[in-house]
Amino acid sequence: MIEITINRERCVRCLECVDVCPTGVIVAKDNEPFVENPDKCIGCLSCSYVCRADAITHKGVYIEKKLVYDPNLEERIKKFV
Amino acid sequence: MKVGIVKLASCSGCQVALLDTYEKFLEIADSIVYAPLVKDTRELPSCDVILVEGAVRTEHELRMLKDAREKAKILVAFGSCSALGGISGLGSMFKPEKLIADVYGRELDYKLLDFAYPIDRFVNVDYYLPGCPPTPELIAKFIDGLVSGNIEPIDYPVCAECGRIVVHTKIETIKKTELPDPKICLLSQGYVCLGSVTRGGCKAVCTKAGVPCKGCRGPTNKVMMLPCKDYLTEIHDRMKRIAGFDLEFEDLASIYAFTFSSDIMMNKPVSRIKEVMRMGRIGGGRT
Repeated sequence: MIEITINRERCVRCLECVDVCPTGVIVAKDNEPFVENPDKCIGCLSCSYVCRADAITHKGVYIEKKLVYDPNLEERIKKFV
Repeated sequence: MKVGIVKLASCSGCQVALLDTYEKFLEIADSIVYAPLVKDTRELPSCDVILVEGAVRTEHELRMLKDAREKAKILVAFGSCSALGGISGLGSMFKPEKLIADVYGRELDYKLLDFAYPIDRFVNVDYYLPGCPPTPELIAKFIDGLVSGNIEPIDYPVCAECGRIVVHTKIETIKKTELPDPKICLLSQGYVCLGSVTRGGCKAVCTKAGVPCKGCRGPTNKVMMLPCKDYLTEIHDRMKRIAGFDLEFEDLASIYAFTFSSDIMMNKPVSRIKEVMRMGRIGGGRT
């Protein structure tokens, strides 16, 4: 089963994840997103891509796409203060 | 600790921001051994930390940069020009001969490099401190980190510090000059605000004052990492969702203002920097 966690400290409450979720897993309550039906999640990761604060993480989804196109980029990015 | 400040193609604004740290500057004032703006030393000595301000635009600057790398234990890209190309990088939009002809009206003895490069194109950089300029608080925090050896990388967007509330609206045109509502997200109101794709840490000084974010701190880690993410695609999709508005950007160069010469943003498959550059270089001249 896919486990979704929302980092409350990072979340900026823009509720865009609620808009993009195709199966209604993430629901808005009092202007805050909550994971309501995790077993409906299809692992499309739309919510994670759309999140501006990088607050949503998934456990149990295997990503086949290689997202980094420059092998040194990750090293460089770590140095940004 | 010996600190040197090397200035390349830039406006000295970052050095002025360093002076604006007041008490913190007094703490490090004695350890500054080379800084053309505040100290009358001619030769760059060996330093523990060298802050490099500005992009590389001439061969003289390239020699200065390589000299600084040899003499520094820690080399810091100080400000957006040295980290990402910044405002100096916008000069890459035109051919160097055209720039010189427009500004001086005649030919010069020395030649500009073909582009304005961020410094990591030529040398290895230990830390990047982007910002135009980085706020005095950021600089003070960075200096503290250097002294204690514990530097925390910042990876959250400007939105995290802004405090405006996102509301789903339906707008029809992009706003530019009207006064915004003080509590509602600028994107919801129809302003092109780059806050959601820009690295935070600046305490959102612009958006809190009602000025849309121009993206001076450069992209967040997520935007840098994902090939499908770019300023244009992200802001376009976000405005479509939040404000119900299908945006057509007219002034692309102003969206990429601070990352125009950065290879990180330029090499993205979705980026339109190369297209803007081609148009500027073929068309030539300023508009």
